[in-house]
Amino acid sequence: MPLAQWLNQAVESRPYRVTLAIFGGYAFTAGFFAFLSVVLAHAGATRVEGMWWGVLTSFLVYTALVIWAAATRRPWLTSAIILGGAGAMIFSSPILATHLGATGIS
Amino acid sequence: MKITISDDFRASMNWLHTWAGVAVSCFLFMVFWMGSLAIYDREIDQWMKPELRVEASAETFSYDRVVADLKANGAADSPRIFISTPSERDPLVFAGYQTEDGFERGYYDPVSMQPVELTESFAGTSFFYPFHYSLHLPAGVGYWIVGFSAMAMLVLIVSGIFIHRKIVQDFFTFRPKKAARRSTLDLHNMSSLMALPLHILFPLTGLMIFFSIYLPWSSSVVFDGDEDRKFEEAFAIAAVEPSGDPAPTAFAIDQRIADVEARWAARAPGSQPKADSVNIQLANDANAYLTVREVFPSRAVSMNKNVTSVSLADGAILSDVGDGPAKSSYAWLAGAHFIQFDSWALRALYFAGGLLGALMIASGLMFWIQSRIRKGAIEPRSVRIVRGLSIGSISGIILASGAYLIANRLIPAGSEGFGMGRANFEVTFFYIVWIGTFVHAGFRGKFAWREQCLVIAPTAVLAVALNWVTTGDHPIAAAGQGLTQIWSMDLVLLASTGVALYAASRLKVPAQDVALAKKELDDLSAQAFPAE
Amino acid sequence: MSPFLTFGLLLLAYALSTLGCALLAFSQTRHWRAIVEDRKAAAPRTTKAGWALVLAALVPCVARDGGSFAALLWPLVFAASAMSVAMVLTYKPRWLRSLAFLVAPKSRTHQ
Repeated sequence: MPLAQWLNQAVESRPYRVTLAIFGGYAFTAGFFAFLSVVLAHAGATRVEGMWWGVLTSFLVYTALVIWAAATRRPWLTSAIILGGAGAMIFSSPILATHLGATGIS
Repeated sequence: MKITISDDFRASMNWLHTWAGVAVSCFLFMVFWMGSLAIYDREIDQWMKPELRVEASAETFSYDRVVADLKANGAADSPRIFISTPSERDPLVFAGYQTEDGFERGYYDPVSMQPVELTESFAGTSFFYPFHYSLHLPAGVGYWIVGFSAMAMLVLIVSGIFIHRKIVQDFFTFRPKKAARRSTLDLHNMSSLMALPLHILFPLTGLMIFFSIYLPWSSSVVFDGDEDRKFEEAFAIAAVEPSGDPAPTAFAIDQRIADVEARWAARAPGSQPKADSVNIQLANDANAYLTVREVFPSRAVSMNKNVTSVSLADGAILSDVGDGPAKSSYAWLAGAHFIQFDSWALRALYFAGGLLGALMIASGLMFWIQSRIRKGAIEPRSVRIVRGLSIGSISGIILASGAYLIANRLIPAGSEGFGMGRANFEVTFFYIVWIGTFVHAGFRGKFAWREQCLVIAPTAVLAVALNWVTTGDHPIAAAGQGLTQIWSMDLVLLASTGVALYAASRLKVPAQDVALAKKELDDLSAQAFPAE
Repeated sequence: MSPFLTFGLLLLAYALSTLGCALLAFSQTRHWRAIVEDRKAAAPRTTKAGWALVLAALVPCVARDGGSFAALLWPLVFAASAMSVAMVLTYKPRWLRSLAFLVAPKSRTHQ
């Protein structure tokens, strides 16, 4: 299976890790910020507080993701979590936000 | 609990640290250098604009009078008037109003309310300070470069801690007599570890402050993507519709502000809140309202905690900033980055800490270069390129900043030409010198470090001398007049002469390497200019 | 608060922190040997005492400006102290000798 082998080598490679760290990490962080703020607003925090919690945590999350992507021994799993998590949160957050309705207004 | 770090993990962190470092360190040094200068931006303003060398008035400040004066001088029809109160570091009133095609703004004497003509210069607050977050590049490119570098710096700090084995020992280890590579690494470890909390604080809070730029989509999702609403709620900006009816002839602005200050004092007992920024919106409408802010309290770290909009007609509160735990934490972190509180000790320590960060970055870059040079061998091209960029970004930007001060003292008032005014002449001079340092570094290779340091030394002395000649405020005269800002800045300039000379003595190319280094330069110019 | 008191508290914080840093340096074999000028000397166990003094510097910091400022002042005072101790260790390690004998009187016999 030369293709599978090539793919395995590719995800192990440093250029892939750097790309995953920068772009995958950014996407996950952007999704995380949105998701966290919306979830907190659903849980009873004001929308503004939800947003500020996102501000406080996002850049730390991004840093951790970059370290993880650079060091991981299971690049397939890491990629799946980062990219899958990013997709899920970016997709679901706006939908959850529309269901906030009149609640969560400061 | 003992955390064991596998060699594998350490190796990947080492790789990350090395290459992330090379990628962003030149930008990071610029940001740290300009950011360190920005800590004293008001003081630099006073040095570069001698008209600011006045003492803050102790007289009570009246907004009503300022507004009356502004209205008598062109602001009569303006919908928006803004006023920043004078303070110890900012002795003049900064005020202005919206015109049909922009804003009219200026400085006013707080006692006579006469406009004060200042030396036309961007100086500390409009050149050095914005440089550290925007690099003065068009279309927001600079913000993204700085943001990327700040993110990389966080990663560099974490990876740097992981690859470190002896943390306590390296706090105090500096061996200047050992080989250059060893002492450079000592310097890098020492400067990183000592001020570690500060090195984390600056990039992290810098990113947080610009969250709307770096994560624009994410921050507005919770507001259903409504940007206006985000700013309204996050920064307590009231949205008021004009009534169409004309405003009454006089408003009691001072009274409204006093009421707002009393409201703030009531919710934080023990504090002495003082409004420092006032906006009058819909100034000519019956629905006119004030947005009153205490952006930078003098006796607290947290900034922007007090923002209230109040109706001018009846004093009704239109909006007030909310105060949850996350917002409060952010207010402290942002305040810790802006450093506008009144504490000379902290400001001086921050300045030293910022320069320590700059030293960490510079020594890291130099270590990268030194570890890639094999004894007696011709240097690889990558080393030459990184060194050239490093020299221009490190000693080059320091030299250009000194040149900027000299241009400020030499360019005559009212100079004009090439479609620009005096302030832009200064900036142009800065960039000419800065680009020159990159060119010089390209031609002179490893000799350029020392040569640029040897130019920085007299540049700093010249700046002090020119301040004396053009204003008469030599350090002793300035001390006599109580101009702490001026004599302190002169002393820092003179001290940097000493540092530059010391650095030059340490950066000398060793005698046994000179012949090889000269040969490398000859090879380089032979490549660049091949004989016909 | 009078300016003398605020300056005094700042000085006290610096003194405690610097003393703590000196003890931390003593606990490191390489530094200890440089201070007592004995290549075989064993470093005293002053790490905990050193950190305790560094931590104690937090008290004058809080007393001076309150917790919010102290969270900034304390790490910065520590940086200044660490820098002072590092410079003394680099250029004048003998200056720390009298302090070293106070901590470990036996080291005098190694001379």
